[in-house]
Amino acid sequence: MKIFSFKVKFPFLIAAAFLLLIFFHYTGILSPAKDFTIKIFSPIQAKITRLALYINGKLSSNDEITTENYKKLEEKLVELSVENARLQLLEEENEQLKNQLKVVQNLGKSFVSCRIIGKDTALRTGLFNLNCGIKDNVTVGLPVISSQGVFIGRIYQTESRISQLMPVTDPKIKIGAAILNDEQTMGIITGRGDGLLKMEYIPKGVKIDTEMLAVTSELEINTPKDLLIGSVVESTADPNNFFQSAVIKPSFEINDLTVVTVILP
Amino acid sequence: MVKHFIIFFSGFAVIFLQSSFFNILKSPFNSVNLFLFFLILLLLNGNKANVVWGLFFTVIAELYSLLPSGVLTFCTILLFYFIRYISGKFLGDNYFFSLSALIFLSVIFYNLLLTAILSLLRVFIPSVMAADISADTFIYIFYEIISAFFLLLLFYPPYSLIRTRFKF
Repeated sequence: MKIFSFKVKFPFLIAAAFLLLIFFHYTGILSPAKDFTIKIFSPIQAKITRLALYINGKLSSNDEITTENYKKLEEKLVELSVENARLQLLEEENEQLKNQLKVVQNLGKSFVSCRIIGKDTALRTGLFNLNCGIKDNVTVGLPVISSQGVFIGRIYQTESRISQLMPVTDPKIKIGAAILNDEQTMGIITGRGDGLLKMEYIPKGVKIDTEMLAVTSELEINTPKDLLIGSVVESTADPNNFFQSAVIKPSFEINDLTVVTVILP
Repeated sequence: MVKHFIIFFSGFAVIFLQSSFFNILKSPFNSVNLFLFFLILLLLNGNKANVVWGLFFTVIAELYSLLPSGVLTFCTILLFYFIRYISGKFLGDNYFFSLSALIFLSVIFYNLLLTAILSLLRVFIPSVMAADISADTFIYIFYEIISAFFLLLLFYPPYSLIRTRFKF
């Protein structure tokens, strides 16, 4: 290939283009083009993602129960779980009610709604791409909730117009959580990789029953406490360990999510 | 000109289908790597313009990836040289089984290369997100090969008509 009357070999051209691309990326010269591409195509991507999530829902639905009824029951269950969590907190202490109301009010004031537009193109991870980024004040570590107020996960990485959500079901996440029992026992929740969660570092001797609710604790930075995460399915105590653990079923169905809310600090 | 338009629009469609549809589906359907398949076919159809198109689409795909910028492009460049070598030495004809074998080797090469680069990067940059190497990784590659084979069954008739051999 001839460039300015010099004969340049194709591999060198590719190498030069590659190095230039890296340079442009890290200096931010490509940012406007990237933003433009993401902004233009995110509505189409959101629709495609919705279709994929719908198919996922169909694939995992039980044949004996009609999909419509099943969805309604699931929605009802989540609503009841949220309501139940709220009622338990009411009984605990009046102060906690005030705090929760503050949280709800705060949610209305500073949040940003984002659409799920897909997943990483190269990596086999459970992370979802959202169509909001630094320009929408979304930063790394911010909590993400569903429209029903259920804690879904955290922002893992963000760029100007795109960010990645790490759901609570991801094995790499660690969330400070509390079980809504008498002592409000704290522990660390992490994903198991199979759609369920594992709560670890629960002191031995604390009674953990099934159906008890797990919520975010005050140990979480930038995250309001008492956001519902899920309910206990099973608890196990290893005699050789100082702590016991519990299996938590998350109170959200990822296939039903198309729009999520990022709570701003 | 029409050919380039077709490549341009199908490239974007493939990226969005990969990112927003196939990656969202449950296993084993999420193993369909339409983007890699498209890239291999593009690079196989050996002329410089197609290589440039391949790199262009890789750059677009990088917008929707967590990987440090340049990793995918680097993999694509090495994949191109791998395909060029294999195609030039052994599997240069247009038969279905030659193409199948080429795609089979390319999928393995690309996945192992990406895994190796990510593992290496992780040593220097711990925050790099990479899937842990486990039995699942190889099962995933196996599914990816199977899905690439089915994709080839689907796309072989039109592709065999337009394919040209490497000219450089």
